[in-house]
Amino acid sequence: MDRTSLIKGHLEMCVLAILSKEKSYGYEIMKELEKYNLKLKGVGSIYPILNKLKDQECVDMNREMTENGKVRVYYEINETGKIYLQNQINEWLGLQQDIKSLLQNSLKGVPLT
Amino acid sequence: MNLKLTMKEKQFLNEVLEELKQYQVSSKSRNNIKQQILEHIQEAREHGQDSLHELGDSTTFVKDFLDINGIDLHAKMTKMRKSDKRMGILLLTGSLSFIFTYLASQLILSMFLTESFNPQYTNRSFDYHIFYQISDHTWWNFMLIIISFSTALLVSVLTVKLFVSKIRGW
Repeated sequence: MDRTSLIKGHLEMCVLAILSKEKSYGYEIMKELEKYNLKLKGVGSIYPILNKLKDQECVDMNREMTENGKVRVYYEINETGKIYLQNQINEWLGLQQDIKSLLQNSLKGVPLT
Repeated sequence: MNLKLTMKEKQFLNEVLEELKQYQVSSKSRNNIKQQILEHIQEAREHGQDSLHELGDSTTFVKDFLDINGIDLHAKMTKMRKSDKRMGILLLTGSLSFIFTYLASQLILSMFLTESFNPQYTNRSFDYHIFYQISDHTWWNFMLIIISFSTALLVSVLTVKLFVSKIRGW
């Protein structure tokens, strides 16, 4: 499995985590992911994820005017989104722990850092 | 959004929207995606980057969209093929029942309401044609065609309705 596929599975959680810090827009979210080395081959996935999160009422969407008079669509996490993010984090940590245990038991002697 | 797109950008946008339409994605979702792509192109330009390079190719974009929205590509295609097949069968059933009923109706009307099949009737100028000329009086001919047409339409609609209710379990 390549890195892009692994990232894709957790992209929803990552996007919500970025939005939990402050409201943001598509391009900025993409740049933030890049900072953490979570760059995808095609960043198109971010937009369907933002739409899905909006449909699930996890984020609020607002059009705002920028300094240069341009309209930009901002996404902001809401209470439902925060709960959803917390559940995702718990699930991810649990899964991570389960896989780690499996690997430790199966590959005895191979250090897992 | 007033944004002048390059040929490549236009092509990418059209390809994405066409493919999404093909997979029966709602117009609302398609419009959202269109706005987001345009916004992305604008932001990328402002940051001096190649927007299309970042967005990837249109097929991957659409595949990601379907993946993320839990749309099973294979199931969707099978459903679309099945739906096309059903539509074809319905169209064929409707057309055949229309033609059959029209002809049957014209024949019955010819036999009972016109002189066409009367052996003593000898109008040499009358040229019988079951589709449009079953009587030598134009107005009567027109009336009979209207009756046959309406009957055929009614029967074919009823047949299709009956067929739809029967195949609903497919």
